[in-house]
Amino acid sequence: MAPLFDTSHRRLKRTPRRNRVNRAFLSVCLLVTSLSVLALTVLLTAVFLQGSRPLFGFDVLVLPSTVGVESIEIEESRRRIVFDYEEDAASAPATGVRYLFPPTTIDLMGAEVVREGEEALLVTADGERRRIGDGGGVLPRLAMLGSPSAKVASEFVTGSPSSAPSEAGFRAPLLGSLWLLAVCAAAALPLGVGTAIVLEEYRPRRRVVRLLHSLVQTNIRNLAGVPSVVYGLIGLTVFVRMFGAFGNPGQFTTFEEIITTDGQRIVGQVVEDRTERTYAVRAELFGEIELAVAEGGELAERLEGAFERAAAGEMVSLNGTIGLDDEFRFVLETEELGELRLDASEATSVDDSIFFAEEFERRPLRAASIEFLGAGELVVETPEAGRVTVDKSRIGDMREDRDTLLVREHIFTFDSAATVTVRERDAAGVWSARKRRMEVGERLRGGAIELDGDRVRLSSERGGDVAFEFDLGSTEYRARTRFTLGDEDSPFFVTLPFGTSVLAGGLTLMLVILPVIIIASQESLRAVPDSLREGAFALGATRQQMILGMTLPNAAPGIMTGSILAMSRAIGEAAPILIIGGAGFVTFSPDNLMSGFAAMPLQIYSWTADANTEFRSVAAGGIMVLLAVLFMFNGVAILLRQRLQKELP
Amino acid sequence: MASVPQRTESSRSEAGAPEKPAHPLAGVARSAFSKRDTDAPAKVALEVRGFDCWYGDFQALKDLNLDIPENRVTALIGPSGCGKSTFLRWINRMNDLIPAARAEGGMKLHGLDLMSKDLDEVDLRRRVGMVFQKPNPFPKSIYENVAFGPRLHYKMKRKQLDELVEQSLRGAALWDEVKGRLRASALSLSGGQQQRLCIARAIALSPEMLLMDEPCSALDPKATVRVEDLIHELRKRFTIVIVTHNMQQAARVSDLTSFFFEGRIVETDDTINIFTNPKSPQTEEYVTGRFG
Repeated sequence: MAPLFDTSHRRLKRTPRRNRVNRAFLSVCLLVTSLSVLALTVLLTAVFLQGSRPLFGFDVLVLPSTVGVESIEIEESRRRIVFDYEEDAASAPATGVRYLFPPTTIDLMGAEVVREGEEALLVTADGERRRIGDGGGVLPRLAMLGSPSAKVASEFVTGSPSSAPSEAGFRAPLLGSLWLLAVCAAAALPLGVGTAIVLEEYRPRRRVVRLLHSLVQTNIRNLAGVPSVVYGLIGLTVFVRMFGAFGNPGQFTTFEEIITTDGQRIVGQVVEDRTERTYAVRAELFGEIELAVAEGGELAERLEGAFERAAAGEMVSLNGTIGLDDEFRFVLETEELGELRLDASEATSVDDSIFFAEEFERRPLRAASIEFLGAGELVVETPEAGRVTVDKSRIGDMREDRDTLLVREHIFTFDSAATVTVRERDAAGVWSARKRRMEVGERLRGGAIELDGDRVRLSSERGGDVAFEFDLGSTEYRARTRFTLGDEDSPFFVTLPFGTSVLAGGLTLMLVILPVIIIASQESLRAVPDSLREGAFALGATRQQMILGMTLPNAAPGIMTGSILAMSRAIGEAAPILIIGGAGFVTFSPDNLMSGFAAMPLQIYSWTADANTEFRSVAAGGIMVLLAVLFMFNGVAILLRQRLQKELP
Repeated sequence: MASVPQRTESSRSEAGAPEKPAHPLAGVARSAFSKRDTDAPAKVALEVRGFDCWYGDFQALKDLNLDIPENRVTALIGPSGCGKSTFLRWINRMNDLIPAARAEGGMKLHGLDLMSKDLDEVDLRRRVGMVFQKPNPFPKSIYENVAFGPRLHYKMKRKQLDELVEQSLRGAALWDEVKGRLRASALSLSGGQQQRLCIARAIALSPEMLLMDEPCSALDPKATVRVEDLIHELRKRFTIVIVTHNMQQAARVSDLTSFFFEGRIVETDDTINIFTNPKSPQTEEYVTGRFG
């Protein structure tokens, strides 16, 4: 008799349980992900710390990769360590200089360096021993000195960009990115959510419109996958240039500071023409150093001579450099004036940070300009504030290629960032400076200056475009803008075309994230059950009332989460901003919609691309700040989701 | 009174029951019927004449003719897919939300032509409330649920609104259970309470007519009884049209019953007649549970 139940299958070998495999797979995924995150963080921290500027509060002393440090000498006055080292066994010993940063935290008085085998130890006067480096290795060695402090990190985040890695700050890119994001959010949120509502809640009845509807729907999904570079191109055409509909070069309004030599600052406003590739933005007031020049002295004589010739219509070049020598004397070298040494030790108090310029002896401080301003005053001017402080004024980062021209008692100073400073003397003999900045993209250097009566026409080296015209006779420059909307004193005025402004940048980023926001919003709207819609309709709600009172409130947490994630994508986008002409080195933060801007990813990119490899550690610091911002965004998104997510029936 | 048609009898005897069986609903129906006050002839609230409806190419309703009396409960019964709910959703034009749906024919609510092109649907839905099969409270507080409708249509002071909410909740026999926690989420209520909340939400607008689409099908027997009791109370104030699959429920709550079959109305009569003395053999078979 056959058995009632066939139990033969019990003898078969069992298949392994599937969930065990899954669990193993998931564990591997989790492990790999968390390890990569950890590794990334550690790596970034290491790269950052390896440079001369630490982020999270260690004072770091860096010695270059050397085969052997021969001798180390501490100079207390300059808070630096001088050491001889050999690049390799064959070459002759070279001398390196490293500066302690921040300079105030270590007392080097009476300290000495002791070598123990491969290690170099710093022994301070009170007997404390710190390792400062050893002889070999590929990477520079680190030594932790002093106690942790948040000061360095905050200095990095709030500092201005600089051409010195140890001084570079991240404030302008951070604020620039936040401005971009604000514009982007203000544009993308209403537009994205609105589009999602139209697509989800207003389903068309007619066949043709239905077809169009599904076409749009499909397209939006496709657009989410389009590389952001493409959006950059669209943004360039549509927002930056506006198809050239408003003329090229466009007109541009900017704010300007007028500085008088008696220290008075007048915030004025001038209008500049702008060619397609010259971007005028807010003028920055840079520091000035005033040095006494003795009446009748050699310099004064030479300068006066130069002015006389300039007054006669001749072009006089003050191209030159300025540096400090060992004896605290400013060394001036200009074409017209030759070399001059000025004793500044009594007139100025030189901040220690000046010594961060490497090998400054006999080397110009990367070309500040110097100008003679009337009654025996010499002004040394540098493009950025914050580097060298002399007599309460500051000298910033100095550039190497700066031209100064004297034209009929007007001094035109050009630097590599295409800032033009025009100084002029009024009837009373008071000099005032008007500064106009043409941001990256156009170098006026090498361009021609043309004198035409009272008008000075500056043209660029690019095919003779007129960069701007300057009327020597007038002190006020009235608007020739064609398309300006809004009050120019408010941060919200707009000129057409937008140019490479915060507005154009934000709108371009909007294009990038719009599809993402639309799709996320659609999904959230779709998650609201139809029974709720029917319920609202059955109570006599119009479609609009239903959407505002029922669908939107219930979809809001999802929409917000999706939008924040989209925003965090926008903040990390470099490509579209690069395409529309965003600058990698911008020292100021935007203060109106038409301002130029720096952006975090772009700044990081330009740091990594910098020839000076020390910037790589600064870039790592930038990445960490960017990561922190992203972390904050995603944290807020998670928090919102947790707090606001409603239970749906 | 309960004369059963010949066919039914013969089919029963074939099944092996020699005696004429009692009507399966007789007991239930009688006790329910006894409560009725169907004597006075009621005014017609909804008048349906030659009504057809299509979903795309599919004709869902064919030549419906029906008078729904005022302040009475009219039950629509019939097998699934026969068009009861479709018909119900035409009364407050919820079918307008379905792109492929269209209808022809005459339908008048108190003289208002519901098929007119310039019908104000929003106003109509204010006048015709609807309760759905599955309780669908909004994910808001109990108070906000009831206040949602009035807020859409009227400008009310806080106090008036409070009063209206209380009245509506009392009307839906829910007040005593929720009065202490009006601010609690409506989703925290039980299924039966949720459905009564939906009824409260609908009656807060004082509609002329209340449409109920299988209001008890998602509820347990106890909650069902409470809703049915509520319907008894509500018929004093509202004209009620109820779709139900539950024959006993139709017998218990309705005054008038209409039997739908394959998009047509087979028979409309006083409930007592439908269940005890149907004219059509199809109705007979359906109410006695032989098909559907």
